[in-house]
Amino acid sequence: MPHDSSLHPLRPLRRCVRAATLWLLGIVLLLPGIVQGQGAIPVEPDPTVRGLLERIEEERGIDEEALLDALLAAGPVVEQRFLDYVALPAPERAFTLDAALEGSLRSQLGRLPRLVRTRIADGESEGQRECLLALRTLERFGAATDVALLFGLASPADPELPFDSRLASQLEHSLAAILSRDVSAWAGLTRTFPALDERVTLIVLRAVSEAASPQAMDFLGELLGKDAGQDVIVLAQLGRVVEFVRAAPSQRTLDYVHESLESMDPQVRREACLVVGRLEDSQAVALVIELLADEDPLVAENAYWALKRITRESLSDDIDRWRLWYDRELAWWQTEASDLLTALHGEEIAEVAAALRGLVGHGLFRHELAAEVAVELRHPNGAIVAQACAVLGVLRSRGVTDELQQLLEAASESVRPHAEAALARIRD
Amino acid sequence: MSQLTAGGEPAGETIDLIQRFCTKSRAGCKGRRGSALIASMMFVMVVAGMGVVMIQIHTSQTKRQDQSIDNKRAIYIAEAGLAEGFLGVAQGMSGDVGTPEAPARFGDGFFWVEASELPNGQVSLLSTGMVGRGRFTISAVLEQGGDPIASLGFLSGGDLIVGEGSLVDGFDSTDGSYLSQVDNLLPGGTTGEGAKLAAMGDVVLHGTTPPGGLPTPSGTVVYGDAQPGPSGTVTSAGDVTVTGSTTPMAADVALPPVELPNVEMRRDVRIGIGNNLVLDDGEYGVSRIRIDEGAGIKLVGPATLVIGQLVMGDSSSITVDSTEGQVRIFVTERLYVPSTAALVSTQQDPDGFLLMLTTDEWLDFDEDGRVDDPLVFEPSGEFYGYIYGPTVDLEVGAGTHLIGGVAANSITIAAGSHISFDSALEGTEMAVSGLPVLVAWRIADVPDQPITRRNTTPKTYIEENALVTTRSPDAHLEVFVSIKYYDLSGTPQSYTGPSSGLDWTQVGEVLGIMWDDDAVVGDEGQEWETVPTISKRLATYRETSGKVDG
Repeated sequence: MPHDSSLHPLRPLRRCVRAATLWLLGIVLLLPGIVQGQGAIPVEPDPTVRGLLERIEEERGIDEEALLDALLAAGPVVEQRFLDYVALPAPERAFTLDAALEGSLRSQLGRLPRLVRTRIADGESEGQRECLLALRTLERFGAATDVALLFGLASPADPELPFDSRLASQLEHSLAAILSRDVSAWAGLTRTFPALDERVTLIVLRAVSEAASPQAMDFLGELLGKDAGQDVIVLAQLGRVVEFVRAAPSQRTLDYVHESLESMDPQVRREACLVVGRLEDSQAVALVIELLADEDPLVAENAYWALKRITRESLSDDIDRWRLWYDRELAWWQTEASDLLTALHGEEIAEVAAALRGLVGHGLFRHELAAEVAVELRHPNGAIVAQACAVLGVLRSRGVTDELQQLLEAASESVRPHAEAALARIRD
Repeated sequence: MSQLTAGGEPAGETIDLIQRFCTKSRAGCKGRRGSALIASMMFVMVVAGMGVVMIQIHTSQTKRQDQSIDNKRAIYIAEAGLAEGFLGVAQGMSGDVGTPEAPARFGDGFFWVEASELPNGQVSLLSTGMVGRGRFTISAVLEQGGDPIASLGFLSGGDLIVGEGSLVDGFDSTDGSYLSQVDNLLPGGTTGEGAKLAAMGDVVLHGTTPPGGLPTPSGTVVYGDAQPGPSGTVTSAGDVTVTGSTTPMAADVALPPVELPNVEMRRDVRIGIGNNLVLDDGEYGVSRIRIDEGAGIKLVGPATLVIGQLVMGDSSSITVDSTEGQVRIFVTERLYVPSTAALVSTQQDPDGFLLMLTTDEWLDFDEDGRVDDPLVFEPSGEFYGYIYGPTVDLEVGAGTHLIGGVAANSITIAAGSHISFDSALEGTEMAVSGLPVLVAWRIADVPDQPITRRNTTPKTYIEENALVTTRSPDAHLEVFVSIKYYDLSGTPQSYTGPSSGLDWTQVGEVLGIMWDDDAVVGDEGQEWETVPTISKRLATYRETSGKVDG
């Protein structure tokens, strides 16, 4: 039996062209969906959540009283799952209600916190459980206009009594979620904050830091220095925010934090050390080194923690060693660094490699050095790129993670492990 | 070209040429007679020499290959020795296995392991493996004890919240009772030191003194450390004093899951109003215990009680007597301890009472159509003990003075509470995992011993010197054991004698164990190994008993 090609010499070529076209077409059609998560598998609901949704579907809706009862009966774990599931966009859910029912359910959920408030006022509420459910609902679906309702639900009936710990904790999460979701809530909070009760202040500030956004950083920055008694808690929350927000705080905030390192209040000095440590603020190193000899040993302890965090050096807590190290680093920066950086961006491969080696071990300027080294990640020579990755792994600057991430996506097989290792060290 | 006659004879001219040639040849051959032989002999000698060289090269290569193979086998045997030593340390032995004079037998080779104790509770193992001409020595450093969870005090896997007007301090039960260490100059009946709060998330301290709260002069006071997780913060508002460190912890601490003992679960138990039940030392499993109003249970240690649901009525009590050993209570579904119930420890020893909780699922326990909180913990008065619940959110009631330590998914201390960390827990082996951790590993010089010298193989040396070897699982130097354990039926048992004399398959759970190299176990100051999760080690005991000679 002769091969087809003997009959039609162009037939194999035609087949190849046809297959390639099909592949290309498939990629073109599917790629946007994959990139945008459209191809994601819809989430199946928990069996109990499915049961509740099926009930709503069968009964063609549910009133808020029945919904409240059903969720209370199901317990906090199931109610959380239910709220999480309903809050998902419809395409991401394997179980969906028709548009009318969907709208009705969301509207009932929107009214549910107010129903709880009414029941509390009428003395018909089951207390903490209902309040928690209402607060969780607002966490998922609340907006800026619901902030007052949040406080009303969580506050104790007797203002002399302390907050219920669970309600206070949930209030924090719910407020943080609203602040993250609805930017207009920040304006309202800025207006009402000065008038808040001292106990509520703590909850609000923790919610602000939990929101972990640039707005949170600005909000806290604005509060610094307004009330000396509040600076400790505001600094602590600022420290919490900078752990998660990559953007730097405003210069005013930074200046105030630096001033706080020399505050008369040891508590403020302690917190300021932690903030500059979390910010990895090399500008504050000289001040922090002097705090190693602070009269309050707890300030000295935090200063040592901050120095290790900022510089990634492992010196002991001896102030003289740190001073010597700092002087050496400054001298190196002023005399040798510029030549090395010039060589780093030069044409000669050997000189670039030597410059990369020379940049290792200088913790004071590690962010500045890392930014310069990151430029070499685009170097045409793979060995230089690999070496640059290794140096970035040693410098451990969070500022270059984006560049390394981009390299990870585009790099060849030989370079990718180096980029992965560098990222792992930075995130460690 | 020669000319031939018609008869085929050569012509006269041709004959003349031949004669001349022959004459000349004879004259030349006279001086070279035998030279071909010499040349051929030289050729043969060269070839033979090359052959010898080739054979020598081959022999040398073979020897090198054999040596290399023996060295590799020696590495594997040395590693097997390390594993045997590791197993010994995990079981509470020294880690010594065999000696140069009586090495352990493993496959075709032999090994011995020398263990030495290092500072900080570390153990160094030096294992030498020998087979054929191969010798190899590997050194490893092990850290004993695993994760010292209890030494971290009140440890939360998430946030740790301390309510308004609370008092957090510590003491050392090895120096006497809590009361004997109270500093009378300080208000609120506190020792004024030793607190340890740690959270993988944030530590939140509320500070305003509530009406009816403890009469501390300045709201909440932490007489010691309050350390958040690596990314966490200490947040305090109002009157809060922290006298110790608030520096974030260096690394996250994971809380491993509770390992439930394999106990047969029996029917429900209900202790009627005013009745008392005494459970002697042993292992018990009960699906539900309900202690009615005014009733009580007394548990005499060493005892292990696994309970599905434990519900205490008003004014009921559980009394723990840990004089003879630790009492452990595992609660898997629901723990309900109302504010009028009491958990009493006769020894006031936090190490003597361990409460392990996995009560994290909300279910309708009382069948009223509504799910119930699986964990209510508000015992009145003092509670001495250690609570471990890696998945539970523990809220300690205001009327409870919790003395000991806690590790939970999250911890909330109610307003006006008092909690005290017992620093004696740092010295105990209250660890989540009892298995040693490998700290370092390196290749070491082979010790200079007669058996390691290369003039003979170890097998030959052993045969020539009539040395006695032992198969590797039996070569640990400590062959005598003293053990307290539950058998498979949950009955407490004890045994002292040769390890080989105990039927390890009948050991259900080890309560304490001591090893010795002579029959007088414990005469060298050994202490009972009493790791709560020592059940993990049971697997290794069983593996040992079933091990075959390599």
